[in-house]
Amino acid sequence: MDLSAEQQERYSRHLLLEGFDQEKVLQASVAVRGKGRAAHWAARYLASSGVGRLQVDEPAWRDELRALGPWLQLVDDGELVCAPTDEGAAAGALAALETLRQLR
Amino acid sequence: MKTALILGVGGLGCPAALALSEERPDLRLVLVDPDRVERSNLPRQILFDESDVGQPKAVVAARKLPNTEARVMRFEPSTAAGLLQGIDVVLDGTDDAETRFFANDECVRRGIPLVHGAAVGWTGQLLTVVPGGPCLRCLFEAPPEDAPTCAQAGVLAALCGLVGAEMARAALQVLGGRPDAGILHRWDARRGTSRPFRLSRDPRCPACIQAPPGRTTAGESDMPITVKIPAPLRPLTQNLAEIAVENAATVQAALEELSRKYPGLKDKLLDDKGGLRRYVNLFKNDEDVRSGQGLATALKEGDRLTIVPAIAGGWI
Repeated sequence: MDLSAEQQERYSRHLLLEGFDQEKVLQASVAVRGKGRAAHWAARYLASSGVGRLQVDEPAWRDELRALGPWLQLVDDGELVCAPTDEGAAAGALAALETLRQLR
Repeated sequence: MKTALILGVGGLGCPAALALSEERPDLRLVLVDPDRVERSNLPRQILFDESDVGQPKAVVAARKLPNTEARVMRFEPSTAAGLLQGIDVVLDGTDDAETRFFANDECVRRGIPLVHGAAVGWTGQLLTVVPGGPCLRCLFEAPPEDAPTCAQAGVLAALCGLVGAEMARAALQVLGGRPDAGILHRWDARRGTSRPFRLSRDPRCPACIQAPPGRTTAGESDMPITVKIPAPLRPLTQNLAEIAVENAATVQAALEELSRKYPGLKDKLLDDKGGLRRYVNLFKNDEDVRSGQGLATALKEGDRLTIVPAIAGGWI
């Protein structure tokens, strides 16, 4: 999979990161569990980081997530599970971070 | 109404502003950033999307969050005084070391609490600076000359989200009167670990020297020595129950410094030979200094010295 010029520009800070595989992220399929604030934050960062397919439990987030991830497909059968174990914004970002770590 | 000033509406400022706005809609936010949205910002600057590219960051963010004002300018000597007017806490998520150290110095000098956040590569860090506590310059004397920037080393978007959300939490702790001060938190996102480091104040720190005197946060360690004054002596200390003493290596030095600030105290504490009066008990933390080395007992920052009058009569 080759990144388009637009993708290369958008994800340039990730492409500089040693040990980060942006192509793998763009092809990944993730299911975010929950409708709380932590799940919302996790979904935001997974979408903005370029995750290809995302499953979320809260339909109200869909427009925002599509704006954060222009190539994002919202699906019903996400594979890798992202389930924040705590509440709050930081717990959500941390859960997204842990999911992305698994995609290295 | 409390006001938070957010310096830099980027990878850290965006999540910090969003988290504060979600948790405390009554909090007024002032967003400071001179830059415009670029496409390479979008993965980590989650208040923005493709349609915002080319617009001023502060203005776009202020449009999307309630109770928020934009200042499209740099935080620098010509703007600092105006921006800091009436501010209860500052969140620094700027991207250059020079601005960070300037923000640190200004906040320390004016006694305004500061939450400093940073993320580059796979590493994030957070430090809350409060009056009387260790500051960024106690940790690093000057801006590093060759620190890598995000444009050179890259940065992980979700790590920015984590640090930004933690900055919001730290700011709310400051506003709630329970700051997480003096602890440097570092995240290693490659390993998935985080570590707290307890910092000490550097007595030679060039920023702290300019801090307003007599402002300490009681109960925190890594602070100057705190001397607790008993009620009978408070007429001599302008009714202060606690007095902060800096740069005192021994009990003797602390008492001398105290007597210099409040001249009436010396006669009450020391006899005419300079020894501790018989009816005065002095405790370093919870230990009687007489069971240690008396007036020569060593003190370090964060120690608590308590003056306890003898109970059964004879109090001077």
